[in-house]
Amino acid sequence: MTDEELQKQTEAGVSAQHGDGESYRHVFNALKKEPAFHVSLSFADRVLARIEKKEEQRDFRWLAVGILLLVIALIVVLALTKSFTTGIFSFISGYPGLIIFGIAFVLLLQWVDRKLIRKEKGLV
Amino acid sequence: MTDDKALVAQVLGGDQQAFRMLIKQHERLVSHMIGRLINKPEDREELCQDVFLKVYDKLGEFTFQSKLSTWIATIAYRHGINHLRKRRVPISDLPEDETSIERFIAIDDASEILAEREMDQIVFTLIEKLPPQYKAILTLYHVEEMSYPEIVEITGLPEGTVKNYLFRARQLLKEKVKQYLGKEATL
Repeated sequence: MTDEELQKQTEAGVSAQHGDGESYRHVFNALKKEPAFHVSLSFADRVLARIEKKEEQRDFRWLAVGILLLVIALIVVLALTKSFTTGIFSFISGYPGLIIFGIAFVLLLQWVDRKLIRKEKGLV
Repeated sequence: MTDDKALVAQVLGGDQQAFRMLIKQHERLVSHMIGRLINKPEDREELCQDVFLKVYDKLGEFTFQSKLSTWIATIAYRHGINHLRKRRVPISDLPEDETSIERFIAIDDASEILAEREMDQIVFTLIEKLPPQYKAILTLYHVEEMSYPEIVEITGLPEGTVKNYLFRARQLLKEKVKQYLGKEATL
């Protein structure tokens, strides 16, 4: 009997108790069994932690890009208008309460987003 | 498939608990694939994590042309093979020359084998020595019970090659087991 026929027979559950048939029976029995390696119990937690870290890094990169673009825009505007004055800053000094409220509001929104919305979605 | 669609939709909607469930459902498959392809135990867990990071990144591109498990197995297989390629591990085939095959089936490590009394362990040890593509195909067919079209999709190999690798791998394992049984009978 050829090896091809023996393999088909063994796969169908018909195998000899001697010679090549017996060897194939041992091989097929072992092949069905799971490999010894298994991931750790905390595997899913570790993957999710890596995803969270990656997303935080991505957020930070976008923030850095945004700040860089803002600085570039400011430089371009100043260069084009050739008018660097403190006029805009004197406007800010006239409304300290409004500016503090604005900053506090943005920070509060960030906090709410992180603590409530992202947590609800399981992102944090 | 419907369950897969619902699960994928939840993950894409930002539900991380759904992704946890997806990991739990497929970690066995990924660990089998990576565990068989990669011989270094210290690399295996991290590579399995990398596979699921890729799954997370690319899930939006999954079009349900195949089962989710087949798609994940494809990512695991390619990630494992790329890892081996970077380390210049030969992955494609057994050397064609007769001496290489004879070297595989020769009992030159009889003491190692005789120390392992259980036949399953002997076969596992022999599988470790096969080229990565042979190991992957044996695992997908025998452990995961996947069909030939699924294995073709995962490995990107023609169906004839998949069948040939499967046949040759079993034949080589059989030759080695036969030699071991012969040796055992004479003891």
